[in-house]
Amino acid sequence: PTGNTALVLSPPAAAPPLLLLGELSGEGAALPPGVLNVLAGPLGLCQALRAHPEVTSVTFLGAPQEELQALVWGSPCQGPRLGGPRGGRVVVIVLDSADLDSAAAAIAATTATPPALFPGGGCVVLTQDTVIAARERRLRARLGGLRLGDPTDPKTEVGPLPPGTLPPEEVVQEAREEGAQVFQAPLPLLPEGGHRFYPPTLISGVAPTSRCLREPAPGPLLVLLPVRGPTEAVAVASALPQTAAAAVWAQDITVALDTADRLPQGLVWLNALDLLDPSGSCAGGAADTDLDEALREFGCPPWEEPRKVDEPLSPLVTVDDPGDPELAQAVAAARGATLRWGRLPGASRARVLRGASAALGGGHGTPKDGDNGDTDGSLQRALLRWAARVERAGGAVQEVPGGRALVTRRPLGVLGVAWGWRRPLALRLLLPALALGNCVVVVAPPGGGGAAQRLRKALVAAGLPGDALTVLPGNSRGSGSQLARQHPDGLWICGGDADCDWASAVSVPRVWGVPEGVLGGPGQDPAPGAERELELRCTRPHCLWLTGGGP
Amino acid sequence: ELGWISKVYVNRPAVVRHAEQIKKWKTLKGNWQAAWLLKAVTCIDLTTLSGDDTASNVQRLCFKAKHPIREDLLKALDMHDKGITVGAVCVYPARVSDAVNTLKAAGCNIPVASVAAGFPSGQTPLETKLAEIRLAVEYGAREIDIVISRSLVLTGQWEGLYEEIRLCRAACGEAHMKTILATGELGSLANVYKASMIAMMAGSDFIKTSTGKEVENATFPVGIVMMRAIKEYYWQTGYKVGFKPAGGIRTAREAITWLMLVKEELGVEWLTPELFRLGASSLLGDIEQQIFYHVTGTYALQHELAMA
Repeated sequence: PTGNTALVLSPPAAAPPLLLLGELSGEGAALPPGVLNVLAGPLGLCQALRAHPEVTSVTFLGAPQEELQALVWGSPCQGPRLGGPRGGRVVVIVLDSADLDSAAAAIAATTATPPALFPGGGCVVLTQDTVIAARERRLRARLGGLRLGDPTDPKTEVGPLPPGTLPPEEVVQEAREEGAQVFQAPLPLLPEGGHRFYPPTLISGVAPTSRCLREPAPGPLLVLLPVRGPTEAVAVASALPQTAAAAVWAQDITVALDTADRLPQGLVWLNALDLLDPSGSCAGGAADTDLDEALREFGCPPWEEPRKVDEPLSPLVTVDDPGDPELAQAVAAARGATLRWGRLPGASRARVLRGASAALGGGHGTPKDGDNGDTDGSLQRALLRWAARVERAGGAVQEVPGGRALVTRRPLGVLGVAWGWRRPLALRLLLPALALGNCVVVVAPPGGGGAAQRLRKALVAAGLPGDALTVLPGNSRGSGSQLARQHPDGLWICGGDADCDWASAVSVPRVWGVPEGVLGGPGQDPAPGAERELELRCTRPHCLWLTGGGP
Repeated sequence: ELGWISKVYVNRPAVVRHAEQIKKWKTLKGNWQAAWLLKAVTCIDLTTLSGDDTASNVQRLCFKAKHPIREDLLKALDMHDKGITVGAVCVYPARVSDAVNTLKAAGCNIPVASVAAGFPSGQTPLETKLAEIRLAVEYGAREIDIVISRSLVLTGQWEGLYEEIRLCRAACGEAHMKTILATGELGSLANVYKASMIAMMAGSDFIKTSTGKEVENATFPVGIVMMRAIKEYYWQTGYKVGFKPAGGIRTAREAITWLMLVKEELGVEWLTPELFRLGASSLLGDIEQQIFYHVTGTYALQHELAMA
């Protein structure tokens, strides 16, 4: 987008579409030559890529492969390290006030041709007890009517499995052994290559411990689970791993909106399934993928780097690292606090921030905290500024096919901050995270006087839950890994010293290496683009897709 | 059984979206298209319901009903000995005896269907409705298309509706009854579903979408909802009720789409004249044109195909 050139490396099996893209982008001078380059080759090329001096950022998309990720993680090139979309399933919740026939038709269509953004995995359907028999009958009838065949032929609805994936025969077999009822549509006469086709399958009578629910299996697999009501549906849906999107079918609007709001998935359709937004802003993503941010990162940072000013470095302080139990306790407490703090409306949080700012103003601001620009005055200003931003941060309404989508951003949950720069902790960095509803656990070398404690006291006095902000003293080296091992919902790494290794980072959904200039120089306000960047980094997108009533 | 209709929910945007997708289904070509078109012909209720119907145009209609497609075209398709006629002839009660006599003289066994019960508005007292039905049956109609009182649906008087249709069924006697729901005037898709269920419970042999005289006649969303109701009734009772879309179906392409929709929603068993009819008048002309094109490669001039 902003003047970068791209070099795409792909394994030979998946190469043809990418090579075609490369060819097409060259024809008709859509892109100048050399902007998009596609290479198909084995894994060893990645090493070479990483070591090449002119490559500035590396990312990858696709299913996580351990070796590949390890390669990329330790790369000396700057730039974002991230994982691509980790694939996911769609969870469909059907409540008793739903239009069962339309839901069945939509689910069958999705099982047949999985949506482009969420490949693999099929669908998990959570149905309220009262209507489950009716649902099952309709789904069986629909699945039986799907036509398998050549995917390019518009008459057929189900194509073969994608190349390189095994048919989910084992998963289905395990389900059968556990006593579930498995319904498979009969396979018609198949063209050559017929062993790549798998019949659409409906599995019912399983529990969440069963394998077909624990991992997404490729192919047209549909799993049906009964739930007793909307609350239970939300609980089960939140506990399913690797889900990318959700759909709620209910004609009762209050119940539908309430359920949709509580789901953790990034994209929730209401009375629809598999509608895609051509403008790309409603790609959503699960609580554990960040597709749109991954794509957005390839550009320049939205602010200019401020001039580097020589700052006096504080001496390295060695302190005992916080023990794992301590950290675990802090993270657990923070998680408990997220329920209270994160679900408050923006206006209440803004009120807390303003109260804290008033409390700080009345305290004694000593100039000797000035090394990192965290005077009480600047903290106050920052608190007020973030309070104003939080009040205004509502979200956007996007017109999409089928209706309207409400695109909002939600807090991540527990944010871990590992401070590795040679400066005392910049508290202004924590404010955006707190303001937007996260609970923060910080590991930083002690220094900077009691500024952190004063800020915390002011915030708690104004109404912040006590566990929402925890600052633990610790060595910067390796603090990232320590925090990552506690599985926070997000991790900010400030400075290379605090970096964490791949093995710990794999469990954290969002890791951000904070660039040095993001807060502006000492004593300055951060640039406007930087504030937006901070906002985006401590929230995840959530899209509620309403059907009906749109253009 | 009121319990069946108390929990009916229909999501209109989802049904409309499904209908939109149906329109994008690939068209058939060649022999398959000709075969489906001939199937459609056997399911047509050839209709004339105008104020200026007289014996002569009804006679012409009946002859067309006996030979809907030109002989030589049928011979080219090797279907001339399969007895291809339309499903029925549909006229006003006053013209029923003309139709019956013509068909008897021509030696044809096609049933004559009569509209009754205050067609098209249904705003007449119940006694006259029943009398009309009885007279039509006396004149020789073997099928009766009755019209329901939309006011009963719009005011939610489901028991009243059930009673009305039940009495009409009793008045029909041996004749086969189609209940016209006039879906364009029922207000919402949920009402369409509920009215379909009540009509089936009260003993209709067929449910029909519209009179053909409303502003909005047979559209795909309405058809989908009615077919889903038929399927649900079949699952609950094992009894198959037929479906007839009527009004606004003018092209052969639409007819084929309706047939494909029936196959998808209801299944192949419903694709026979006993369970599926198309209420149309000018449709036959278009189908004949398409078959002419298939056989000869050009479209016919107006005088080359017999007028209905």
